[in-house]
Amino acid sequence: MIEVKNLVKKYGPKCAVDDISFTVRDGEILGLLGPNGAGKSTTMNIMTGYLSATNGTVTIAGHDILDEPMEAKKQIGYLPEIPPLYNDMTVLEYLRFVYDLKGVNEKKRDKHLNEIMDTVKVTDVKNRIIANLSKGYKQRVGLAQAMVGNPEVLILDEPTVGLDPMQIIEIRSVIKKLGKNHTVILSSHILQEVQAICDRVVIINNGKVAAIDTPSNLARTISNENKFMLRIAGDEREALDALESVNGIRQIKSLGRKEKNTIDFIVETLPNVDVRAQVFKVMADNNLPILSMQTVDLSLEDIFIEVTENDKQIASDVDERDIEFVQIKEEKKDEGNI
Amino acid sequence: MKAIFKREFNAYFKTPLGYIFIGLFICFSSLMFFTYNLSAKTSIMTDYFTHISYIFIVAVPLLTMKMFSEERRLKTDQLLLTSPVKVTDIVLGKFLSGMSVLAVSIVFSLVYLIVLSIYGNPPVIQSLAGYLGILLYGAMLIAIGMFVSTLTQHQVIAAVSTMAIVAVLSLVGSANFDFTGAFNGNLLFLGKFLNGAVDFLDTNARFYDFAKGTLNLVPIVYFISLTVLFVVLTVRVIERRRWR
Repeated sequence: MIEVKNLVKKYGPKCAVDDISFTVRDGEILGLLGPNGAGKSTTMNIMTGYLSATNGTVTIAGHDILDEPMEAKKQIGYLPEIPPLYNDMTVLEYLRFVYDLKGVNEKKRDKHLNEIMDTVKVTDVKNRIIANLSKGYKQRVGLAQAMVGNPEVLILDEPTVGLDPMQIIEIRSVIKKLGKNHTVILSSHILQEVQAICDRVVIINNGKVAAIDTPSNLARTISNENKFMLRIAGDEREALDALESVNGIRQIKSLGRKEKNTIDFIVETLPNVDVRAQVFKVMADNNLPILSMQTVDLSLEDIFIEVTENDKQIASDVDERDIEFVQIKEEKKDEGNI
Repeated sequence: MKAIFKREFNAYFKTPLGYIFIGLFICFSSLMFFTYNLSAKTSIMTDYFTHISYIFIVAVPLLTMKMFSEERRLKTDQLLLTSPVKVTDIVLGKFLSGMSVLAVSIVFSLVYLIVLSIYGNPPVIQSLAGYLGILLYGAMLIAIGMFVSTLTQHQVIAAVSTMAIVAVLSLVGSANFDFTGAFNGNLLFLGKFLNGAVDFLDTNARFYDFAKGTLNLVPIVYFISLTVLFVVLTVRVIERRRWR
C-alpha cells in the first residue's frame, strides 16, 4: 500500500531523516515510535507531500508522491501535529470546506459529514466556532478532517496529544475501528499507545530506523536477557562483593537506597542463565537477607531503550537514562505496594 | 480553487477586514468625489480617479497581509498543500477572493457616476475606463501584497512591507526625482538608469491614462503582466519552500 524508500531529509547540514525505509501493508495500523525530534513528523510531512525529500521516494497505492501528487494525495487523509483548523469557521463549515477542497463526490455531502462527526463525536459542537473549542475537540475535528472523503490511508501525527485520559481511550478506539477498513500510520512518543493500537512498530531515533517489528515480537527478541530486581538488607559494598562471586551475571546496577538499611540492585544475567537460586545461597551465606527479588518484565519502554542503546551516537548518555528510568519504574512500584 | 475562493471570501466578512476595506474605500472615494466633482462643479472624474488610488496604500495590505502568512503561522497550509489541489489553484483562489472584495468596493463607487449622469452629462465611457484602471491597478497591488505575505509568518510584517511598497509605487512619480543632476559627467549613465527605474516604478503615471479616460495598450499590458508575474512568483515561493 505504502512504500517509503531510502528517505533522506536535510535541513542545511542537519539530517532530520537519514535513510528511512519501511512498507505499510493494506489495512495495517503502523506506529512510528520515537522521542521528540526523532524525525517522525518530518517523515509524515514528506509522505503527505507537504515537504519534499532530499533523497528517496514515497509511493502511495502505486502513485509516487512527487510524480503523481494528485493521485497520491487523493488516497491520504492527514492529521498533522497541530490540527490545521480555521478558527473563524464553525465545525460544520470547516468540514464542508474540506469536503469541497478535496473534491470529494462519492456520497451525499451532509450525510457523509454527519457520519464522520458521529464517529469522532463532535456532532454536539458542529455549529460552534472552532476558536472556542477545547483542545480535545479541536484534535477530534482535526481527525474528522482527515477522514473526509474516506481516504484509503490515514496518516495521524500524535493523534492523542493534549487529550485527557478519557478522550485518549475514545480516540484510540476510534483509530482501532478505522484500522479495520483503512491503512493507518500514526506516530507517538507514548509507548503504551503504540503497544495498544498498532499491528507493527517502526522505532525511529535520530532520523534512523532503529527497529521494525510487531510489538510482541520486539518484546520477545529482547526479553531473552534476564533481568531482575533485588532488594537486600545490609551494606552496599558487602552485597556487591557477594553478588560478584556469582557466575553468569553480566551486569549489576546499584539503584541506591529505597528503604531504610537496604540497597536495591538490577541484576542482568547472561542469556539463558538462571542465577536466582545461586544468588539466594550466596546472600544467605553472607548473612545478607533478600527482602525482595522479582524479574523485570520488558515493556516497550525497555525495548526502546535497548534498541536505541545500540545506537552508538547516543551511547554516552544512555546508561544514565537507563538507570533513571528503572528508578522511576521502581518508585511507581513502591507506591503501589504501600 | 472554488472551495478556497469561497472560504477566503467569506473569511473577509467574518473578520472585520472586508468591511474595513470597503468602508475605507467608500469613505475616501466619497471625500474625493465631494472635493473633485461636487465642489469643483464638474462631471469629469479624472481628478477623482487620480486621487482615489492613494487609498490603496492603506487598504491593500488589509486584504493581503493574512493571505499566506497566517496559513503558515497556524499550520493550516498543511491542509491545503496535502490536499489534491494544485498550488496554482490555491494562489488563484486567494487572489480572486481579494479581487472580489475590491470589485464589490468599485461597484459601490459606481454610484457617483450614476449621480453625475442624473444631474449632468459625464463622459460615461471615459469614466468607465477609470474604473477599469482602478481594477487593474488594484489587481497588481493585490498580487504584490499576496507575494509579500508568502515571505513571512507575521501578518504585521507583511502589512507594513506591503504598505511601504505600495506607497513607493504610488508616490515615486510625484517626487519628480532627476538623478542626472546628481550623477553627471562619467556617471551620467547611472543617472539615466535611475531615472528609467523611477519611470518604470511610477505606476501612478500608468494609471493616469485610465483616469483621463484613454485606454492605451501599454499601461494595460504593464498592469496585467506585473499581476501575472507576482502571481507566478507567489506560486514559485510556495512550491520552493517544500524543498528547503
